[in-house]
Amino acid sequence: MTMKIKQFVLLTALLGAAATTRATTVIPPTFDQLVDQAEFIFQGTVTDIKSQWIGEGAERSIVTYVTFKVEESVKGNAGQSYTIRMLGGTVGEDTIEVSDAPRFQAGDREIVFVEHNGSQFVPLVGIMHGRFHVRRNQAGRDIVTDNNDEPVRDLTRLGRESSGPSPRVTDLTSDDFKAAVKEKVQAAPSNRPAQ
Amino acid sequence: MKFLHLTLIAVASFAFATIASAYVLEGPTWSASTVTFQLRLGNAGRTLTDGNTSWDVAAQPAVLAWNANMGSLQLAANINPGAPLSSGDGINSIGFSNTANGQSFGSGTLAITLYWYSGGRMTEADVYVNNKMSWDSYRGPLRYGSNTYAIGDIQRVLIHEVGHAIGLNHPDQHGQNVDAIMNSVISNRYTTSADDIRGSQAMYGVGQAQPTPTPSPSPTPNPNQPRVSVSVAPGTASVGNSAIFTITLASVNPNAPTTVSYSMSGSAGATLYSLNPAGQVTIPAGASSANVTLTVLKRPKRSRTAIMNLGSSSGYIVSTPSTATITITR
Repeated sequence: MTMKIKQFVLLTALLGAAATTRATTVIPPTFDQLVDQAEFIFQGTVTDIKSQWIGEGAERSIVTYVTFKVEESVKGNAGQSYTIRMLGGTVGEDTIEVSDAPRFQAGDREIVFVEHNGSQFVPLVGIMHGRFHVRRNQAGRDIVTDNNDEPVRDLTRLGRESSGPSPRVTDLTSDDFKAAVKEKVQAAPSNRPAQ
Repeated sequence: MKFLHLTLIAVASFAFATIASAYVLEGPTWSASTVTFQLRLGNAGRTLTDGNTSWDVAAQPAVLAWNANMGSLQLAANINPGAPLSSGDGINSIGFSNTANGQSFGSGTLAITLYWYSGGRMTEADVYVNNKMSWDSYRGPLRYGSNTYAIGDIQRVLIHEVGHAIGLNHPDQHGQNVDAIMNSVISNRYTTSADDIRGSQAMYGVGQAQPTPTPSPSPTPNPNQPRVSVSVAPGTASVGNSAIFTITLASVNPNAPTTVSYSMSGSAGATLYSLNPAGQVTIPAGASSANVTLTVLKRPKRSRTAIMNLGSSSGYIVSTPSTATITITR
């Protein structure tokens, strides 16, 4: 059985510039890319998960439908309920798993950045990077954690290698996170009212 | 978000560090002792940084990288341009694709692994490599393109993907902090780490690590030796039907017969079919080919593969294709 470990690292020399990084299998998007590419962004609670076979021949596979009760639409209008379709799942004794695909459970509280639902193998911007958990912290506040369940503190560091400890020491609340998304959405030229 | 800073850290010292075994298992494992991957990545069309001109040749070490330390499972990698890349056909394939089993990758996906299992046992794994991304093959620290993105190293990405295919998950996405090629984030690591190896051994036991062989000079091919290759038709067969493996000589030897040995692999059990002749076939003097007939004896519950692999000999040179695959359908 593995055990959780903590590693304290003293960085004695760092290069100053930040560079874009990429994951082994998925390039983590920046915050701007997350917001710009998403067709829908909403906070919701997972209410239902169903898997079934689809397709024929070489493209026959299992997909899983994850339904959210939408509590707040942040970009686009996702309605009161929204269902995403993801490749993989279990039907009977057969299971297809997809590396890097996020896994949802009923009752999960999430903020998701949706793109290409129905055609992309996981319809989230940056696959697992387009899913954020909403967690209640010890102080009773809702904070946002990433797919690794690490608290989000600095949106400018999403999708980028950092050059040192985050200057921000407090965890981002879900309200702050959504406010930043809304600000970015309103600032985007495509969202400004026509003159 | 946890990112490794390896490329940015010039000097780092650990004031207090505890590195523990932190591998995370997906759950299902293979029951077969040998799992063969069909490589169908193709030619690079240029000389890659590591000197290879074939994606398949560059990728082969990625599959074999897991073997040295595993006990009950060994992986094989056949270069097989004709292998299908589709999920659910019983063939373990690695190839470039513009879709993930018919669905779009999304803008930032380098590669994904689809693996099937039933009752805790793996039955198939396919790696879809996004052909819209920029790829190379190189060792050592990450290299970056002019757009500041790291250039995809086919070998280290596939070591990671094959790690998924044998049953390993991302330790860093399960609260672990360890040096591993199975971490979800690319790094300067381009080989398996001690933790990756411990994870593979947790599933398949401890193997006898093979000492690194001393490189020996490649023998100079004897131009008089015949070159042999294999093909099969039809590519599928069901119970009661047959398929013909044809072993072909590139140049006819009018003076002596050529006996070619072969072995079989794939997901089809040996009781599913018969072979005639079995184990080896002789191409008569003056002939250019000989056949091996595979007859399907049983109806499988789902499609299975039977792969003929030509054996090596001092009497001939194994040319490409050196393997041929037939799918045994329901």
